[in-house]
Amino acid sequence: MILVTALLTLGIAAAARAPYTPAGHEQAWLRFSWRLTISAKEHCRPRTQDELDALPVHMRTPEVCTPDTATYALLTRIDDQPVETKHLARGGVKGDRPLFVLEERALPPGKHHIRVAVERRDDGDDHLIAELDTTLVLERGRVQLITLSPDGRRLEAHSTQSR
Amino acid sequence: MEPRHSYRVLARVDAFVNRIYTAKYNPLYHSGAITVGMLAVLLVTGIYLLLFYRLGAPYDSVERIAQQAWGGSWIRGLHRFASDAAVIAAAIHAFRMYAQRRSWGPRALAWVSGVLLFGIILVSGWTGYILVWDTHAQVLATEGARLVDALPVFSEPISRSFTGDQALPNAFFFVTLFAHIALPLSIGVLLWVHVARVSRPILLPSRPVLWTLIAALTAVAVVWPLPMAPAADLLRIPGEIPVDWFFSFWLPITSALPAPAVWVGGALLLVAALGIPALTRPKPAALPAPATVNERTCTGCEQCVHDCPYDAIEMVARTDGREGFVARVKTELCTSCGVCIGSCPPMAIGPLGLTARDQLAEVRSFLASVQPGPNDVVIVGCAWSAARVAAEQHGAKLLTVPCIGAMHTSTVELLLRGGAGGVIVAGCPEHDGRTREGVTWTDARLFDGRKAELKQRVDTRRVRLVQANISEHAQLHAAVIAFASEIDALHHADGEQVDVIALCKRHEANSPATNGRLMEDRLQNGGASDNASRIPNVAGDVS
Repeated sequence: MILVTALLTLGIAAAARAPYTPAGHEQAWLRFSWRLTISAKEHCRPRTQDELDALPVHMRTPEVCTPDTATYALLTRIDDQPVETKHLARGGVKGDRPLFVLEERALPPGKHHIRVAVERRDDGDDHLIAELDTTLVLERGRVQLITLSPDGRRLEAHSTQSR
Repeated sequence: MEPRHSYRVLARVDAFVNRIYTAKYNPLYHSGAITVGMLAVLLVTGIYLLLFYRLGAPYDSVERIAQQAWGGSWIRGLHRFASDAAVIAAAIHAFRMYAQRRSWGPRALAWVSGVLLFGIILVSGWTGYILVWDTHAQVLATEGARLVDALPVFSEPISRSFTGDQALPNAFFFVTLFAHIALPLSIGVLLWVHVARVSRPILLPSRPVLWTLIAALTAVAVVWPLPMAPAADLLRIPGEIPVDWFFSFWLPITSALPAPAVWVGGALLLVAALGIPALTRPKPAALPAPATVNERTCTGCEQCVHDCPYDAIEMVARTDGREGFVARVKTELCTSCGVCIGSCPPMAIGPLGLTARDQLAEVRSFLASVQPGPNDVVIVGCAWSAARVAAEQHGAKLLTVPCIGAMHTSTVELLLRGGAGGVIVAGCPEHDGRTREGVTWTDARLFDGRKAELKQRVDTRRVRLVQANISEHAQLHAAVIAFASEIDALHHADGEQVDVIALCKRHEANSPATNGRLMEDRLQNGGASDNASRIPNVAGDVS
């Protein structure tokens, strides 16, 4: 009885510290992470008389506004791979909240040429918001963090100091 | 109701553990109470750890606790191991309830609250591991955040808190600590709901079981201290880390799946767990009827109220013009266990078709067909005990009842008066009863004078209660052999050939007006019960 009790409790203690290796430890990681606050933009025009007449009296506002239809994209090119474009959606049900970016790429450890850009796209009128073109040495099991500068004009590669 | 396959598996495991710990101290029988006991240990050790925990330096403070040679190290280990033991015990407890068909009907509330309790224990443990903020915590936190972000709950993804671009704020650990303390408090409320429908709930295991478990876990915590995993580093993917599999068993599964798939799978699992009461409920035709009370014969003694394991009987004022109270069954709480049948001296209560009078009618039929002799042992047992197998092995006569706890003692008396040399009542082990206290009450009714007691006129040397589950037929078989030889000795000693006659004489002396002719017939026939017509009607005189 004592032996069985000892074995059972040792089994509990062993299972409480059994080894586990999370996926991705063998690779190096690029992590794009930032929050982009976009000022609300609306395109407004005066209502025509016909439009006003068609509305109930209490809804006859002088202007009709449509929200900004611009979209945003994250473009990444690593070494000689083709450019990868990811559409970025603004937060919130109405799409009127800040834009959050949290993307991760697993890469082999070593030196890599990284080109990253954020673009605003508005009916074919592409506008570069921020970009980064740099060469980084990535370590196995470490994360290289790339964030947006506080003024929102450039992308920065952080040092890999632990946090 | 026949036992399901899972019960046979459970019974085999129980039989094995009984051989090691004996049925009295079998920890599997105390699984529910052990869970509560371990939660109490968690509460005590958790208060100690809270004294030294610092929100501003979570990892460092836990590391300092782990370095306290005379206190913190083993208390932290005991806290961890007790939580693991609670998870194991709760899982075993749930499986027992499922295997024993104790998960539907009035017990559905206990099942559903039990599932929620189990979930809270897991989530509470998850918050506890986060508080350490080591690599194990990092993996749990980032995976949890990934899953939560798949839900349209937060306007900003909480995964952004774990990207490493800034240190985690103290508020994160404050909220986690708050949850780690608040969730166990909700366990107390749910536990009250969990046991609301049982009488005399057993919230803690017997002291030997509880203290042995605590001592064993403490010993392991001292001898094999928990290691500290490296501190969390959000800019590093952890390599091999020590993980508590009782709380992190889901990690390899969820991390390999997209978050929506995890939520769908988890929701299906939860629905299935909560749906067990509906899935295991017998078909309407097979549903046992709740107990009913014959108000005419109920004396208002309240014994059934005391004995009911599910608090399903109350006393109400009589409506038949007589003074006093009468028992009334709360049908919504009645599990049809039948324990009330054996509690009632005037046989006034029980599920329809299973009352004590029905039992006696069945015994008469049994005696008429089997005609046991003075050397014969009759085994009275339920389908969930080893009675059937043991009877086949020994060639003993078998009388099947729904549950030993539901057996009226008059059944035993009638069997002996009908000619059987001895009666073995074969029930489940005391702490394993499907009807909770059924076996305990039966033991007290047979040998300790608890109502409805076995009458003093019955020779208790010819009655034996054996506790053995369906897999312990070897033990029951051995008990039958030993008992049969005792009966044989009784039969041959002191002219015991006429033991039944002596019984009848004593009975006649007590009740001169009843069955006098039958007694004389019996005397003339040397006590042999080869004629079913000589079987007295116990139902008429036992009360």
